[in-house]
Amino acid sequence: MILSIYHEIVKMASQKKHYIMLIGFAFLMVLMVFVYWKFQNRFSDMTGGMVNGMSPLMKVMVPDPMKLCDGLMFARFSCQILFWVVMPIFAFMFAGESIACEQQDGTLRAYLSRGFSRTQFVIAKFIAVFLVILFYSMLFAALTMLIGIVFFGISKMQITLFMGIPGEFPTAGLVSAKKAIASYYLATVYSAFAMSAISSVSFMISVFVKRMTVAATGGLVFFFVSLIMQLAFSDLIEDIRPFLITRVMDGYSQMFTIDAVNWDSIIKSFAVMCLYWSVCVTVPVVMLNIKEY
Amino acid sequence: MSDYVLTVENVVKSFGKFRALDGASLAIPKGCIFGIIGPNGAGKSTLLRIVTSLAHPDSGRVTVNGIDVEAYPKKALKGTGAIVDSPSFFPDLTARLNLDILSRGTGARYRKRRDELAEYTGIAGWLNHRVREFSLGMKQRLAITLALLPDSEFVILDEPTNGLDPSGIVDIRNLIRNLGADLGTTVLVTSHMLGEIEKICSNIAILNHGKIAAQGPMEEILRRSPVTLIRATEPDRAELLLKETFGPRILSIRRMDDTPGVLRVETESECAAALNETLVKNGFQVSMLENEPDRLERLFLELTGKESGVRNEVKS
Repeated sequence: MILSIYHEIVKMASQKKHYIMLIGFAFLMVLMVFVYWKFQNRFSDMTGGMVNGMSPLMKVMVPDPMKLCDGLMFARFSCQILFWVVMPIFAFMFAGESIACEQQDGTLRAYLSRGFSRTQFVIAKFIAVFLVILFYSMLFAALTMLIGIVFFGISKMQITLFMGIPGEFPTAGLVSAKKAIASYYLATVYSAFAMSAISSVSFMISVFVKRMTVAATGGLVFFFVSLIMQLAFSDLIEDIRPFLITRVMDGYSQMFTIDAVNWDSIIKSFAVMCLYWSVCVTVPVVMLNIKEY
Repeated sequence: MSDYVLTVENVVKSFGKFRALDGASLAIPKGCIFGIIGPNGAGKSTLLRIVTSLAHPDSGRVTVNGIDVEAYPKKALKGTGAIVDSPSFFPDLTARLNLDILSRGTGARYRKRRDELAEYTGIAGWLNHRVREFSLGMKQRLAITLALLPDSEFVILDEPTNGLDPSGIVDIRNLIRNLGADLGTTVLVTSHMLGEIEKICSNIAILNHGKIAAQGPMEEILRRSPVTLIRATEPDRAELLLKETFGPRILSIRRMDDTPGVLRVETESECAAALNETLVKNGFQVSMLENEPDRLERLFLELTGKESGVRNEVKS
C-alpha cells in the first residue's frame, strides 16, 4: 500500500497544475496584501474610538489596538479566503483527475491488465490526494504567515476574530502569539481533512467519467450549491444542514479559538467527513471492480 | 503443470445484441510466438481484454498457466505483461518511473532486470527522458520492456507495429521474434497485418465473427494445396486445355478479376513446371508463371469468407 501511495504522489507531482496552483496562490497573496493594507488604514482611523470605549482591563491588555492588526491576523484573514474558495478548487482538480485522467490516457487499462488489486489502487489514490491537499494546506498556511509577518510584523497579543458562516457565531478573544500560531496550524490541518471530504465528491465522479474537467466541475457544483443553500436558506434547510458537505468546514473557524473549541461540534463535523469519505471511496472501489475496461 | 500458457475454452461475450465472441477456444503452447489475426470487429481486442481480466466473459473459461483468470486474476496474471490497445504512459514522467509505477517493481533485483531489459530493447539511453519526448517506435519498445517486467514469462502485445514507419516495423518485428529465443518468453501478438504475423509467429489463430476459424503451427496451417498464377494467350482455351490434361489433379481454376488474363490454378501438388510445359507445347505464349506468394492472406480470405479478385470459378 505504501508503494502504491508513493507512486500516486509521484504521478501527481509530475502534473503541470502545480504551477497553476502556485500562480493562483501568488495572485491571491498580492490581492490580500493590498486589501489588508487598506483595512489597516481604516482600522487605524477607528482605533481612537475603540480605545475610548475599552474597559480599563482591556486598556491594560491592549495598549495599542493597531498592533492587533499584524501579520498573524493577516494570515488568519487570508486563510479564510484560501480555504473557503481557492483550496476547494485545487482539491477538486486533484481529486477529479485522479481516476478520470488515467481512464482517458489509457494508463488505467495498462495498470489493471496486470491483475493488480483495484481496491488498493482506489484507496492509495484517495490517500495520495489527501496527502497532497495536506501538503499544500501546510505550505500555503506557512507562506501566508511568512508574508504576513514580513509585511505587517507580529505582536505578542493576538485577537482571534473571524468571519464564520452567516448563521454561525463570530468568534473573538485575546490570546498569546504562540497560542495563535498553534491554533492557526491546527485549523490548517483540520481544513486539509475537510478539503479531503469535500473533494471526495469529485473523486467519486472521476470513476464514472473520462474527463477530469467533468469530475472537478461536478464536485465544484455540488460544493457551491451546498454553500449557497447554507448561506441563503439557513433556517429552511435545518433538517438536512448537518449532512451538507459545507458542514465539514464549520469547525474551521472554531479551531482558531483554541481555548473555546466546541469539540462536540468538531466530532460531528468529523462524523460527516467520515460519511462522505466512506461513500465516495466505496463507490469507486465497487465500480472499478465490476466495470469493464 | 500445463503445457499451455493460455487456454480459452468456449468463451462467449456479447455487447447488447452483438456477439463479439461466440464460443472462441484456443490454446497457446509455452515458448511460442502466437499470432491472432482477424478482420476488424472479429473480437481480437475483446478476447485480449478478457484474457487480461479487463472484461468478464458471459460464459466460458480462460486460464493462464492453468489458473482461472476470472476467479484469481492477480494470481493468474502474475507472470503476464500485457499491452492492450496503444501503449499508454504518463507523459510527464521519465521512462524509468513509468516502468517502476506500471510494473510495481521494487528492489535491487528488479532494477537490475529493468536495466538489462532496457538495454535489450534499445531504450537504455532513454530511461531518464520524459515519455512525451518519445517517438511511437520508442513507446512501443518501452511498452515491450514494460510487458516483460517484473518477471513476465507471457507477453501480450496488441497490434505492436501499428502506426510505425517501415524501419520501425522491422525493428519491432525482430525484437518480438527474438523474445522467445533469447528470453524464453511466450508471446501473444494480434494484428491485422498478415505479412507481419507470417514473419513473426510460429503459431497462429484466425478469428472471425467471434470464432476461431483455424489455429495451429504456422507451417501446418499453411500446408495447403499450392496455387500457380499463369498469364497465357487465349486464357479461355488455356483453361480448357489444362483441365483436360491434368483432370482431377487440378482442384480449381479461377480467372483473376484484378489482373485480367491471369489464371489462378489450384493443384493437388506442386506442378508449375508441368503446367508451363503443357501450355508451351500446345502453342500458348506464357508471359507469367508464379506461385501465389501470400499464402496466409489466401488462407485468411478463404476462412473469413472474403474473395479477392476472383471473377469466376470452374471446379474441376
